[in-house]
Formats: sequence, structure tokens, C-alpha cells
Amino acid sequence: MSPLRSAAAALALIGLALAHPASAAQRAFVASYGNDASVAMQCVFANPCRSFAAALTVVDPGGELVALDAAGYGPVTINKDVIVTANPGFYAGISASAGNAVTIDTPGIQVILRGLNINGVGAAYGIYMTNGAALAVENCVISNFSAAGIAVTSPEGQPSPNARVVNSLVRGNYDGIYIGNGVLADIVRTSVSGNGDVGIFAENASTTKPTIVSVAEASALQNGHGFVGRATTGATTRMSLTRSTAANNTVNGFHALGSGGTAVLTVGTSMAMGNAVGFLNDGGTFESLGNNQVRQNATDTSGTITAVPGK
Amino acid sequence: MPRSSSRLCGLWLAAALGATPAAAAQRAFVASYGSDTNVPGLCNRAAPCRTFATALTIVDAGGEVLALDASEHGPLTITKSVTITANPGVRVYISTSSVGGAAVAISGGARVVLRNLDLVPSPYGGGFGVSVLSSEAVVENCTISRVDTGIYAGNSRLRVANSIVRNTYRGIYLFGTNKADISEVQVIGSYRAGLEVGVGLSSLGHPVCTSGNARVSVTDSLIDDSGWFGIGAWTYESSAAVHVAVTRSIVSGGPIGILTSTSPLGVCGVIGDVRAAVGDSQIANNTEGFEAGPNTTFESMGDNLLAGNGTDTVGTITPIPGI
Repeated sequence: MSPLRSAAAALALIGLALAHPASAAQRAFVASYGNDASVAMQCVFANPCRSFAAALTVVDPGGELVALDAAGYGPVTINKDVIVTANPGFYAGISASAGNAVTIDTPGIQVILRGLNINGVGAAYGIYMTNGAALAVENCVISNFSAAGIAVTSPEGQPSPNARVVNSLVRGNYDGIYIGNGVLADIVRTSVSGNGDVGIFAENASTTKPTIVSVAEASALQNGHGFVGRATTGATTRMSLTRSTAANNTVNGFHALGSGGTAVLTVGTSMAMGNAVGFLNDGGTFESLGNNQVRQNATDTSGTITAVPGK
Repeated sequence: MPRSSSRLCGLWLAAALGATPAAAAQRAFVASYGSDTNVPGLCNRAAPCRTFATALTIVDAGGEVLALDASEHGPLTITKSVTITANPGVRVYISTSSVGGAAVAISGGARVVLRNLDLVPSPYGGGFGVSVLSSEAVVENCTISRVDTGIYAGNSRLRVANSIVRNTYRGIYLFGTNKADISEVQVIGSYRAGLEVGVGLSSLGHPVCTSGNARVSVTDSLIDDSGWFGIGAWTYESSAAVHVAVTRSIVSGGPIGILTSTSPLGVCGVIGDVRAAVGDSQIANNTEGFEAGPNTTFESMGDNLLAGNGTDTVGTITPIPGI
């Protein structure tokens, strides 16, 4: 090869190297036998890392972190698009004794958490998203956090993020799932139970964007309150629920709470039993499709319940 | 988080100030190849213990004990708050401790989660899969079979989800003051009852005249092939109330689908408050579908499907419109 051609080839190689950033891994692995020093090898399957936090540093935006076997993988702050998932059939845990187990506070990012066991032993939040574009929680168990199992909010001036919780269990926290300030959320086939305050809490204090929460096939069991939609002055919260159950909650089953704003709760084909109040409207709008089983509560309904036909 | 900021931050601080003291382990492991001499290493991932009972001694309150592989990990008595769980891809079983004993006995006000476990009798049979006394228990993704009573709760809070209880005498038996929620559960082949809720009955079924209240919900569940009744709510208790609500469930294949019963005046002096409310469910292929005993309240939401029963209803069934 002539010197000229050699130089050209070298330049081409440099160009290729520059085309891919140093941290380019579409998929990074963690394992009980891994080592965080493996970030130098991009946490590949043969040399996995030990913690989610270390593996996150080497994965591409939009890539995946995969837990290979049963272990705890430590709290993580997520600052890029990523999927964090576990091998089906294995337990992948995050325990936190302080702060949060999973923190998300970066505008515009999309995060998927799948198949994780997130447990608090003194920490405040299981999953805490205060800024971001989208969060999906699938097949997860989130328990024992002193503030909330899952909390998603959005700052003023940012577009409304989407939150989706599917097939998950959220239990033994203060609030189970908290959806606040202009977040659009769907919660499906998810159980919230034994939470000290509210099972699923849709709330809004933002006057610029509504909080909208759709719930289907969810159960709120043995919490302080079951499902609550609340809006403070000038804000709007809409919460709709079908095929859901609020049972044996200490206070209310389904609760529309005005607090000066527009709080609309719409409920169909659902059940409330064993609560202090089954359906409660306190300064909001409570719509019922007329096909709900509301029996065996100390008080079945309180406040104005508006019958609305299905369409 | 405007509302919550102050409120939840306060809670966070409270939690931080009262945080769990530095203790043993947030998570402890057991495995077929483990050894209970690994306690000094806190039953860690690389050196797991052999039994749940030993691992339980070193895990933090609120922590987790995880079984790594398929094996028997021994009966256990739990008096502190903990999660006992297994890799979802393996079969982890616990046998009852003895004839008449429990695979898992929970008491002392503990809050316990049992997840992904297979509870079976000792070679001599009998006993309880889970016994919960004056505590809180969550049973998820478990299979319980061939014991006398699958799950027994007395004066407790119980949640059972996504589990199977089969071939028992009583599938789930709630005695005394209980709050219980049963969802996505199959109770199959119970010799006596799939779900029995009683107040004022001794464990032998004799009247005990003390107060109590039971509140039980059943959703998205199947109760099939019970020897006497699928779901039964009853009391012999003076001031006691037993309320059972059923929705989106199937009760089939027994002499009685759903039964409400109370003692005649005189056993304890007054009549208890026994109620069932049933909606959006199928009651099929029983000799009797609904049986409302005298002095009980049996409500139907009017959207139940009763089919293939010898007699669909016995006693007074009160239609209640939905809201």
C-alpha cells in the first residue's frame, strides 16, 4: 500500500471511529457476578456490570439494560432514553434505604421499566419522575416507600408527559401511584394495596395543563383511600375508571375532590365495598355509568353522583 | 410537586430521621446449594443460606428473602415484616411443619408478603398452607395444595392475588374480624368450602359468642368443585357482621354456589348481620346457585348469569340496581 493510500485508510478508520461515540452499546448487561469495572468493555454479555447505574453510562440512548440473573442492582438516576428490564424468570431488584430507587428528572426522555422488584427500606420514592417525556412501568412490584411507590409530575413550561403502568403491584407505600400536575396517565391491570394514604392519586395544581388519568382493571385494596381525583384552584383533573375495584379502604373508595378546581371522576362497571364511603363527591363532579356495584360500605354514596349513560 | 412537595418532602424527612437502623441485610438469599452456616455472611448472593427460617433471622424488617433455585426451603414462622419470594422461573416449595402444622405461620402483627411459592403438606398431610393470626399477609402468585386449609386468617388483613388453592378441606377460611380481598384466584376441589367466612365460630365450627366483623371482596376469581358451598358467609355471633361482595367471578360445580347463613335466635341471644352482594358473575352448575338463609341479606345486582343450577335461587334474593 502506498503511503498516500495508507494515510487515506487511516483517515477512514478515524472517521468510522468518530461516527460512533465511545459509549455506543445498544444493550448493556448486569449480573450478580458482574463488575462495574466492565464499563470499559461496555458491560457486554460476557463481561457484565454489577449495577444499573454503571451500565447506564455505556448504553446508547434508546438502548437496553438487561439484568441477567437474580440479584439487587442498586438505585439509579436515569438521564437518557432507555429500557431497564430483567430476564423473564429472574428476580431483578432495586432496594433503596434513602432517597429514591429510580429517579428521572431529564426533559424529553422516555423510560421503560420492566420486570423489576423495587423495594424501600427507608427510602422515599420507588420511581420518581419529575421531568421527562414518557414513563412505562410494566410487570413491576414496588413496595414500602415512605412517600410513594410511583410518582410522576411535570414542571410548568414542559409538555405533558405520558405515564403508563401495566400489570404491576404497588403496595405498602404511603401513596401507591401519584400522578400530578399535567401528566397524562393510563393504569391497567394494576393492584395498589396496603398503602397508607391513597392507592391511585390523580392530582393537579397546574393551571396550564390538565391531569388526565384512565384506569382499567385496577384494584385499590386496604389503602387509606382507594382512587382520588383532586384539583386545586384553576386546575383540572379528570380520572376515569372501568372494571376496577375499591375494597376495604379505611376512608373512601372513589373520591372526587374539588379543592377549588375542576375534579371529574367517571366510573363504570366497577365495585366499591368495605370502605367508609364508597362513592364520594366533595366539591367535584362524580359521574357514574349506572352499572357499578356500590354496596356494603359504611356509607355507599355521599355528595352528588351524576348518572351518565354509556355511549 | 406542588401539593405534594411539602407534604411528601415532610414524609421523606420523617422517614429519613426514623430510618431503619443499620442492620443485617436488605435482601437475603437461599438456595439448594446454600448452607445455614452462611449467616455470618448475611446469606448474601454468593453464599446463600439453605432455609428461609435461617435467612429470616438476618434480614432487615421490611426486607426480602429470595430463593434462587428450585428446592424445598423449609417451613417457617414469621413474626416480623418481610417479603418471602422466589425467582419466578423456578419452583420453590415449602412443606407444612408437621401434621396439623403450617407451611408458613404468620403472627405478632407482622406484615408479610409471600410470592411465587408452592405450599404443600408434609408427607403425613394435613395442616395449613398459610396461617395468619393478628397480622397482615399478602399471598401472590402462589400455589397451595393438599393441605386441610389453604389459607387461614384470624383477626387479620389478608390479600390473595393471582394464586391457586386446590384439593383442600377449606380453600380459604377467614375466622373472626378480618379484612380480606381475593382477586384473580382459583379455588378448586375444596372438600367443604372454597371460601368460608365466619365470625363466632370456633375452628371446629362451634358457636363462640364474641364480637367481630369480616369484610371480604372477591373479584375476577374462580371457585369450582366445592364439596358443600363455593362461598359461604355466616355467623353465630351476636353483634358480628359478615359482609361478602363478589364481582366478575365464577362459582360453579358445588351443592351450593353462594350461601348466607346465620344462627337462629337463641344460640348467642341475637342474630348477626350477614350479607352477600353479587354482581357481574356466573353461578353455574351447582345444585343451588344462591342460597339466602333466613335473617340474612342477599343482594344481586341483576347482571349475574345463573345457568345449569338445579335451582337457581333459594330464599330471598334482593335485586339491587347498579349506581
